[in-house]
Amino acid sequence: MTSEQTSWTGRLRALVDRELPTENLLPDEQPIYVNSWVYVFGVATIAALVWVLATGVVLAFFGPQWWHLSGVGRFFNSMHFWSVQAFFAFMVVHLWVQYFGAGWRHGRAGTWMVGVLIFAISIIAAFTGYLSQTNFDSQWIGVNAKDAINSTGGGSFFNVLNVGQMLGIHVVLVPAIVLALVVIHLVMVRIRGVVKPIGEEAQ
Amino acid sequence: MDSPATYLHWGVILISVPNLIVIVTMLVVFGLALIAPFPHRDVAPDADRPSQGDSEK
Repeated sequence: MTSEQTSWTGRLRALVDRELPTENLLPDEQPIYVNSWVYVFGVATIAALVWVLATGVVLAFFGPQWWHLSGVGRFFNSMHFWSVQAFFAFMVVHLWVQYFGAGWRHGRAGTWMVGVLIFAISIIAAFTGYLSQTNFDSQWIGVNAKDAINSTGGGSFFNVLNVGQMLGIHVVLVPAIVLALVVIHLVMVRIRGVVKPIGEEAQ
Repeated sequence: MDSPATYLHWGVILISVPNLIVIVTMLVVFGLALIAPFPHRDVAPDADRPSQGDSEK
């Protein structure tokens, strides 16, 4: 038996070589039907996510006093907020494109479901972000949200009035999960390529 | 910026003007993406290389 059959690293290497050759991972050509602006929104979402993460790192480093009181801090705070708006807007337009193009066809259901997960967890990221502002807005949201969360029983371990817990979830846990899922989503897209438009399948 | 947003109210629909602007912008961008020509360079097809997406995996 070869080492590819006996060791997990060998089997993994063979799997990657078979399913994701480098010409699929980093293609320099695309099928002719990809020649449309509607295919740009996925990468636009990722570009916005990079901006969200970069501004978030700066905000986390300098802290709430800086982002509330200094001009540069408020500027970075605004960039973080607006890049999140762009992230969600592009993600939803990307969702419309995939929904109306039935992007889950031909073995791509997993890719669709990972996208659904990214959307859901991004909403948690947004809510914990609103709770982490450390201003009257976040207090108002937290005081109102606690009743909704408590009514589900989730308040016993997810306390929206605990700023430390919300900030920790917002800056560590949720970004790590979103980033990992985005990488998985991208790899799944690269493995199967862009789905053919409806009506082109028979050709 | 710290003042409350203006809200529009039709029957059961209640939406702030900023949210309405974002949603309308998204719809306009989606519509434009469907009809606007995409710039591209013409490349001669390479017969030796399989084109991804052509196969129905």
